[in-house]
Amino acid sequence: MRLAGRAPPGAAAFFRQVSCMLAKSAAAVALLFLLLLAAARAQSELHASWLTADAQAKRVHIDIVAGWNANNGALNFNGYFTGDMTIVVPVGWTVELDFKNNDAMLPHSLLLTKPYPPGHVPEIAGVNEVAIPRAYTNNPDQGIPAPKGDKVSFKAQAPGDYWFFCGAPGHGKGGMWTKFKIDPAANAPSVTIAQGAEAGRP
Amino acid sequence: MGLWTQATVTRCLGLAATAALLVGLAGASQAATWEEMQKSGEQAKNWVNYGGDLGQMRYWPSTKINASNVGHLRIKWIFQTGVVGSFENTPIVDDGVMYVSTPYDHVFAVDAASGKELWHYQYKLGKNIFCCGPNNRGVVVVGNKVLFTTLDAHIVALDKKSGEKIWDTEVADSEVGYSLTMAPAIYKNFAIIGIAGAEYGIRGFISAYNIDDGKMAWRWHTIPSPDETNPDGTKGWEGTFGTKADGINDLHRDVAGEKAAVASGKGKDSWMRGGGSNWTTDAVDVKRGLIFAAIGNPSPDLDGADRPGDNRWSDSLVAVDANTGKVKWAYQYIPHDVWDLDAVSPPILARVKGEDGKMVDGVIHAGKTGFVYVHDRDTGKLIRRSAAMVPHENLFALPTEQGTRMLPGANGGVEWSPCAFNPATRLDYCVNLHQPMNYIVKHETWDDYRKRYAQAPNMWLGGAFVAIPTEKQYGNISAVNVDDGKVAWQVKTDQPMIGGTLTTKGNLVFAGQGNGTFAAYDAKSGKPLWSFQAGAGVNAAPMGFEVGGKPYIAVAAGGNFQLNFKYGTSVLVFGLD
Repeated sequence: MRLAGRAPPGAAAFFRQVSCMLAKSAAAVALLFLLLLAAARAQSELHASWLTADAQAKRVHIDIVAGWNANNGALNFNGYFTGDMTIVVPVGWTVELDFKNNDAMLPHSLLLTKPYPPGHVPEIAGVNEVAIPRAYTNNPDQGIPAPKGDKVSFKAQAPGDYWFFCGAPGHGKGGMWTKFKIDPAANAPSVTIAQGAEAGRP
Repeated sequence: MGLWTQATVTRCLGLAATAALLVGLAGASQAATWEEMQKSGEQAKNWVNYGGDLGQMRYWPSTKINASNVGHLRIKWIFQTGVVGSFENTPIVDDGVMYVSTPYDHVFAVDAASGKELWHYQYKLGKNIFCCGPNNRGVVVVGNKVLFTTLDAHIVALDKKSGEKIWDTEVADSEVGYSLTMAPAIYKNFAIIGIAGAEYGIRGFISAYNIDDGKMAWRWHTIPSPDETNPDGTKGWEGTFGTKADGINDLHRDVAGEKAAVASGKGKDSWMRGGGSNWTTDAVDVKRGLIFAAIGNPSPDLDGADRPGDNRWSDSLVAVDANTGKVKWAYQYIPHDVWDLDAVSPPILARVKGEDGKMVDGVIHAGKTGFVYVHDRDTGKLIRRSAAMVPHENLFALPTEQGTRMLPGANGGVEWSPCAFNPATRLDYCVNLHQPMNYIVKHETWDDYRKRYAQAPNMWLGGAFVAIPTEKQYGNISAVNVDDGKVAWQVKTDQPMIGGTLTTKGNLVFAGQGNGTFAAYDAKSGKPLWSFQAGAGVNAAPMGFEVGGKPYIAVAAGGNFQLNFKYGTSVLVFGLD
């Protein structure tokens, strides 16, 4: 679009510019490829016992336990925190979350929020921070005490990156978030774990 | 409007009386002066300290509400703060004006006769990192000032008439985990406060601030440095490697291993991040010039591997010179705690039966352990430890990687909830939790924790507390005789109890529950006499006051974060028809 707005150059200049652009584009593509490769290498797929998929019904059932183990002072989902777990779900699938709190000291919640840039992670998250309709546990800004839980069901419609986020005061900011992606390129749900992540729920 | 006029007149009369006192009319006392604070336990009109009197008995010396008429208590007015969050406040009443602090550090002044808001101050919070809810338990009124502390570790003075800020002092760096949730204690011209943050590897302390200008007068670190001499002549925080709690219960310590660790230099600088918060209000003994403080858990909570030794003075009751900040004595309940069973419920000063049967000045503390401890106030010596108020199983079994089930759970027993002592019944009234838990240990070095903290500020627990879904949780109100240690009566509740109690000269005990019940009980028998459904968790300690000679009971009803009791924003005030 920006090219179209410029004055027509001479043919040689035009080809030089196109060549230059192609070269830049190729470099950009190569860089992007390398970054993607690095990102891919930094993740490993987890065949999670707590995720079951029904491809025919396009439905995925995910068990999430808050405070599954002692990682991150128990501020974790299935043992994972600070974005070191990514759940990918294809567009159009129904997501059923079975949420339980295992942490005897603190209440926790789970919301699907947008990703937050560093320094902008909210202290508390409630219904207003939910990025996918109905994708939150009860009392998201207060949480649910152990050993209780909640069930959540929503449709994965809008492609993009999201977070599993605990909305209780200070918890999301304290690292109680993992990644969730609705991916139009995905054929089936999957879970990946960042390299170097502390051991979580298998 | 008529009541407002009456309150205004009352305050004007109060000002006149203050002037009279200043010109030397002996015997006159005035609201919230140091003189009145010393006598605050002897009158029923004002409630100027967090715990009622300076010794924190939470004993309201009024008989106007009693067993014969408590059934006629009716709601008189409700004040809605509009601030949603864990509401743990005990209101203060000074000469017809009620002062209330809320979650996130708002302060309100309210006409105590009508409930009309007089002013509202919203503290602008900076960076705050807190483990267990955006709590503020109360203010204190002294002279012309309202003092309170903040989640980002400041102490602030407001003008009590206008709500305008007079001074604001940073107590500690909230960026590294220090915070404040307690009401200050007053001693002469000092506001005395502790600090919270032992879930983040802070080093705890108690400080005194000059009420006039907010400047710090002294600071005593609850965790002694290696060259600091303790009252028993030892140095540092390693102590004497005590193997039993109160000389009774085996703590299952690997003393040889700990001594070897000390000898090798392991954990030699662990005292610098040793925890030991003082996160509830201290009791003041004017005659002795001492404060008595409950000191919390060592850091990290569940993992003692890198902090060999007793970890003094975590999990302790201490007596500190209120003029200088020098520690006089200290009694450690649990050397080398690995269960987060910190001492936290505010100490109470009262006369108690000594070991020889004679009455002595005592200090009473109720622990997360579920025991009520009675100490000699001069020496700190434990006179007696009560029968357990909650079930004990596998007591002090060490946490493991797989999890060790132990009762009580890490919330207690008695959490931060203040107990109330009635000198007539000789009973200490405490609310308790029963929460079976598995204690899990997971080693994480300080350096690793700090890397994690830099990424996302979070707790350094050294493990986790895991609920046991198959086991029922519940609570109770326990009345413990401080002279013989027996549990005189208990009222069992469906939910764990957190919030605190009030007792009265009218032979009553008031306490709230997470399900919204606010109830009165016969102080001698525990017989339920009256109740009100507040519609939100009543998880705060009640208080009593009078306006125009009429008696009132007030309590905050706004739920609790940690136990997830339903939020509200109400201060409820009850009176007789």
